Amino acid sequence: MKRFLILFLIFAISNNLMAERPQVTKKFEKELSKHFDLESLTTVENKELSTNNDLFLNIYDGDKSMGLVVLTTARGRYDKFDYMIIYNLDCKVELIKILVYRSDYGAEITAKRWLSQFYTKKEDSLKYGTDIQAISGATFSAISLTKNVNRINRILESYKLN
Amino acid sequence: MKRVLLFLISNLLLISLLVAQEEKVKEETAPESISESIFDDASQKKLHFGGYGQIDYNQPLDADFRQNGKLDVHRLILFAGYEFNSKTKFITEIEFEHVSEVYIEQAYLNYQLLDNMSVKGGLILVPMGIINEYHEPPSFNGVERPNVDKNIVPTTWREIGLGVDGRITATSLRYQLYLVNGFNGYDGAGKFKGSNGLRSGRQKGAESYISSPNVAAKVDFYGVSGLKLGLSGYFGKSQSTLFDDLDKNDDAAQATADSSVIGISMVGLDYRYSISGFHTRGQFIYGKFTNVDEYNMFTGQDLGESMLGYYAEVSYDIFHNNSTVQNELTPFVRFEKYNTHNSVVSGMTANEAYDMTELFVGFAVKLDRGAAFKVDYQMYKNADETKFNSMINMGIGVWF
Repeated sequence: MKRFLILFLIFAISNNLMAERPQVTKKFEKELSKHFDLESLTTVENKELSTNNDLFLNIYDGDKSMGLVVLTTARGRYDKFDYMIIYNLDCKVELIKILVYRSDYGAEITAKRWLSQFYTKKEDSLKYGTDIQAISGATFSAISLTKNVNRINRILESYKLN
Repeated sequence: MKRVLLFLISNLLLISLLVAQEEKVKEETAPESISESIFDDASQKKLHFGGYGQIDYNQPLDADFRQNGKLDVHRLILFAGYEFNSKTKFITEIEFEHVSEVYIEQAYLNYQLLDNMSVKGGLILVPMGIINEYHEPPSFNGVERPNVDKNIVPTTWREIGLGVDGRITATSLRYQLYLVNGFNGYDGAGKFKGSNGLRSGRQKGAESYISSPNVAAKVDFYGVSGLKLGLSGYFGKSQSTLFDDLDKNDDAAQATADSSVIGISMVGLDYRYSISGFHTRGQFIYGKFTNVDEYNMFTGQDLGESMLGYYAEVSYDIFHNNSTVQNELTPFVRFEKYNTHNSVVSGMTANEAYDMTELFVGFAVKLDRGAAFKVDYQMYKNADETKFNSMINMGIGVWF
């Protein structure tokens, strides 16, 4: 029993230590390149939309406008989580990626499949429980993410990218 | 041997802590997280409050006898969380049970050691089954918590311990592993008995004592959309005050102390599944004890050699597809079966009064995600009875 304990602890800690711990900024850049399948992308802060909590960045491939990415924070039950949303030129959500998830609870919202529910262009706000599948045990973070994505969608609705 | 192992574990943790710190120093110029470098954190609150409450009305129904009903502010919990910094927080839940009993349900320091793992130390919830960890009233059906959880788990089960809570994102697994103090099995009198198994042995962090550490572990899988699976384990020996001041050379005294202890192995399996407003959950808990014969002889109790409990529940949110109605109306059905005398030592007869079968039919009206009014009709009987007894339960459950 004790041997199992030791082995398990060694496994858990080494698993995390050995695994790459990319800095969040690198992670964010990696996700951008991966999504557009381009190595050299530049981002320029969109000062008109950015606020204290949301950082809006226009994405460029050279001179060509590729879309927009938002870096923002939301609050789960106990902790904040940082995430990014990539919008295409039609202001449609193409990707949501949770960059930093701090809590022990609610990590289910980081799942790709669950996040893909947000990749729609719906006229009204997305409703948690009907449009977005409810997650038992992750209620706070899931609702928080839904509310915030709806909020940013609304901000962009009145803003057109050229 | 135990001391060496404990020393090794603490060294391992210390080393990983130092490695993490070292990395942090190297990254001094780069932001630890995007929000810290870009956003102004000055306005972030560090202290958060919350709570939950459960107020019940239980009314037994009887064709021949008048029965008084019971009304109770069953639980009122105040939650407080304080964020010292982005990695360190303290979580506590203060509980008032039946208005006059004060308990602490949780009180632990949480340190985010690695990206996907935290270390927790203090009074923590033992991860066994669904309800022990997730028991806010609007989140479960039925006015009262399932009886399988009350009698077999036994909820709310919380002890003082130290351990890790983390996840392996690639496989959508969350794991928990803790070392905790065990149940109080004997403190001048035997605490375990047939009618409620281990329930009276919970120490709850109130001047708990430890004579041998116990291990609690759980793995949760959340990789399939809408499904949550859990597997829990708990192993160790119950505690006894007879080990205090025990002469290590006194074999007779050692033997006496040993007979006041039982070995406990528990395993739990649980699932929760939701799809399109339809919900189902179920749980299976099995506990096996050793040295029960000696324990019963020494204490005069009637503890069983194994306990078993399981339930299955289905519910449906009627207004799920109706966007004009904000509230939820969720009828449910739950079947429970539990027995603290699942098996008994040879020579003893299992008490049929402990073999329970229950059926709940009811509904919940959710006025909001955190406020529910619940009603259920409960039918219950033990193996000795031929007819079901009935009770109507009504209650309010809130979570904020």
